[in-house]
Amino acid sequence: MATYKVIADNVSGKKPGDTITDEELIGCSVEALILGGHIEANKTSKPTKEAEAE
Amino acid sequence: MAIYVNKDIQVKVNTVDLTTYVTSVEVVNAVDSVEVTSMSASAVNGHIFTGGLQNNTVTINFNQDFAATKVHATLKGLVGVPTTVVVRPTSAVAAAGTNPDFTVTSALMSEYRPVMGAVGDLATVGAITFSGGLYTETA
Repeated sequence: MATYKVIADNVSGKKPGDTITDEELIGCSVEALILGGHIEANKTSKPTKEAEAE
Repeated sequence: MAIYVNKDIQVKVNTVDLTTYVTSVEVVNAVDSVEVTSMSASAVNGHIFTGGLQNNTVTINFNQDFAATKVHATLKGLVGVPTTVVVRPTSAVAAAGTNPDFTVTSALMSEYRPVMGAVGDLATVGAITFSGGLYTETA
């Protein structure tokens, strides 16, 4: 399940900084929302080498 | 809910609330008329139709705003892309039987005019029409 960070203040039912899932966006164009600056893909942090070694 | 004057119709396009830019909106729930008239010695002299596919439209007039995340930013990526449009008679009141959400899913905006108007006019995008899709009414 993909998740996105809400950037804009006019996304229905969300505030900036909230997370929105692709399930909540069924029927909507995710590409258009990203293009319009309303949401952005959540960045998944890669594990550090130190964490991998542990 | 008694009779009322339109002043707070909520409009959400692609889950973005653009209510404060809307100057008029029209939701049309329609179906095609499919002719089923056939030869008959007894039928009356007239065409006979049955309901066909839904042929819904939502037409919205927006004032234009090129600021981030506003009208242009919301609409520019939707040309030729199916989306969802939700219209609620009164935004300040939760959806209910007396204030239902009218939703059209998989509606298509086939054209968008980012700039239009004459000198001295208010900048608008004119009438944007979302066509097709499935119409539902939810409380």
